[in-house]
Amino acid sequence: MKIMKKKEYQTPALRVRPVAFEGNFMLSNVDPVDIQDGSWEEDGL
Amino acid sequence: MRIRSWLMFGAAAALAVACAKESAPEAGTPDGARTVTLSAALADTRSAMDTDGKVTWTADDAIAVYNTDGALFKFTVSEGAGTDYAKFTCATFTGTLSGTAVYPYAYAGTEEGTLTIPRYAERTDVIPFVMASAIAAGASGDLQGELHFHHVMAVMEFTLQDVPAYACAFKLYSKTGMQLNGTYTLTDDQTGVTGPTAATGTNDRIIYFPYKTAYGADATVKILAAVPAYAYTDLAVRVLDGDEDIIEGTAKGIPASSTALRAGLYVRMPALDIRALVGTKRDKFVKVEGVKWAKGNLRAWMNGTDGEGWQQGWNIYDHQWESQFSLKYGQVSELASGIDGSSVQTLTLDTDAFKEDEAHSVYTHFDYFSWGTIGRAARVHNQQVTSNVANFDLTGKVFRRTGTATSPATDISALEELSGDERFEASPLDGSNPLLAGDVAFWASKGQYRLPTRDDVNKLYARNGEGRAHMQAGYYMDGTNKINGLLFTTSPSWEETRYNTAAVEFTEADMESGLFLPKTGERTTNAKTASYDAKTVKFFNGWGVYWCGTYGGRNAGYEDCAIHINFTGGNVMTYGYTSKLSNTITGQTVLGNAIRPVLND
Repeated sequence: MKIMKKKEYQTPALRVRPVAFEGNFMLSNVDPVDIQDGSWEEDGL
Repeated sequence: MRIRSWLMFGAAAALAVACAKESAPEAGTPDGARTVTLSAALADTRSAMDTDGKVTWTADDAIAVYNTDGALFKFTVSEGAGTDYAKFTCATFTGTLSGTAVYPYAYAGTEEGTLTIPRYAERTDVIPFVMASAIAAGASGDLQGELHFHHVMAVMEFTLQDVPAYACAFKLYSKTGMQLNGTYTLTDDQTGVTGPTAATGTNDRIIYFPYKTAYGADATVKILAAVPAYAYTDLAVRVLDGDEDIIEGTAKGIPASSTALRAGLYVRMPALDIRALVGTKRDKFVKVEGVKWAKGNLRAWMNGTDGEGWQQGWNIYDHQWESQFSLKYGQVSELASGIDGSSVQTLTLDTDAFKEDEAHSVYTHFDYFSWGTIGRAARVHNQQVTSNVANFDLTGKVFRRTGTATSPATDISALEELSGDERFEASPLDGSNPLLAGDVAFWASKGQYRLPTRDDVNKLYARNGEGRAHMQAGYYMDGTNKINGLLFTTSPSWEETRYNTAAVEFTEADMESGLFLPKTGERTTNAKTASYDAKTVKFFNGWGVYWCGTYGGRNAGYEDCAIHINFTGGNVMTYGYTSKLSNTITGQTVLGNAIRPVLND
């Protein structure tokens, strides 16, 4: 099993003050993902 | 968002790390700082190799943004594809921005703060990361650098290897009813989603793909599914056929250790060898629209290999394309029918060229049968069976005939139906036994198979939009033999029924994907005319005529006599009445047609 360490990010508060939209906007970094190897069981019924 | 290759390029990890360091934000800024523009520093290919699980935007990405009136808008990438810092644009936005953005656009719910995951989705290589961001507004409305996308679900990756051609969907399933599709609500801190649990009918996900996907020992296909973060203890998978039935042997569970899912987790499951899991479980049938058809036409061959549990000398062909003539004839040079199957052949039964060896009598090998007759009588042609009762169905039934061997009773609806072992009395091929009548496939296989019913045949009557089987005309090359026929496959719920009379060449994978009925023609003489002696088969490789077990009636038009399916030289399929080739309605059941049995289970 291989688990990558997830980076810590600050989370902006949800529902900030709405503003009038004036044009393009940039979207910044997205979180990385952690990668994990799985396994199977025999019976899936 | 596609990172389709970063998991596959482990060898390039060192290079990728080096590039990432060159572009790293200055010391003192938060890790992964939002104010650093990486788009100029990272080429597409390098960012795609990132083994740290870093996610980058791609050119066709789109996000969902709402305004304060609740309207949903689609923003697409205008700059920054291949990086994790992109510019998104919407040319038609109105009103005032509201506070949440969702990726991908297709998963955004109709109401802000919700996500919707469809129960059915077509398989793609796109990794279905589901993310959300608050929209933090600047004082002037300039939002540059102010959004940060967090994962709100996990992703599970499944790899299927050597997939049988009749498989066309993958199902992720919660055995105790945990919700796996439908509407979810974003949690306030955007670290995940919540939804009702144990919701009836929402505890699965169907990811579908075309027939013949990953056909071959080394072929693989990757299935990717976004899964709500939760510590599942009951997840399982199945591979489905076009009827959405589980393909036997493919149900596999996933232990809790692999399903403690949290947002941003990517679980990579070991490959499943699907053909190995199925083993021999589908050796006896190919399933179309829920009907389990035999994998070959019915044959009587006295010195051939008996089928297990069959009457002596009876069996089904080893391959779907085989028939009496295709074994010996069918070369393109002899059958100039062309790939559209538009020309027909007249062939003669029981010639030296046909006989398997000189020692065999004329009755040792046949696969054109009169309707309702059993044993050698199915080949002999002067002991017709009809019915005085409309819609009489002999499927799975055997009757004892009255009268004499040379003049047996003809009205099968008036005969005594047998039960138990009486139904399977032997009838040697080289002797005349007109004492039984009924379902010859049922009798020959001792109950393992039967004639198709009217409903079975009706499901093959493919027409656009009628929700029945797909039909594709074509031919199979068996060595130099070119065998024309029609291929029927289940039309899954996510596909429109296809009806294609333009012939194509079929492969081994096609043969496995569905029911192939070769154009075996028809014995068109009624044998009461001595000069014909029922030896002439017409329309071989040009027409196909197959019996079902229902005698339609004797009253009017083409509904008279036994129901069959019939496809012509132009690959047009007709259904529901006996051949128009004979003018003697009551004599039509003595014509010789092919039989493709149905598994009797």
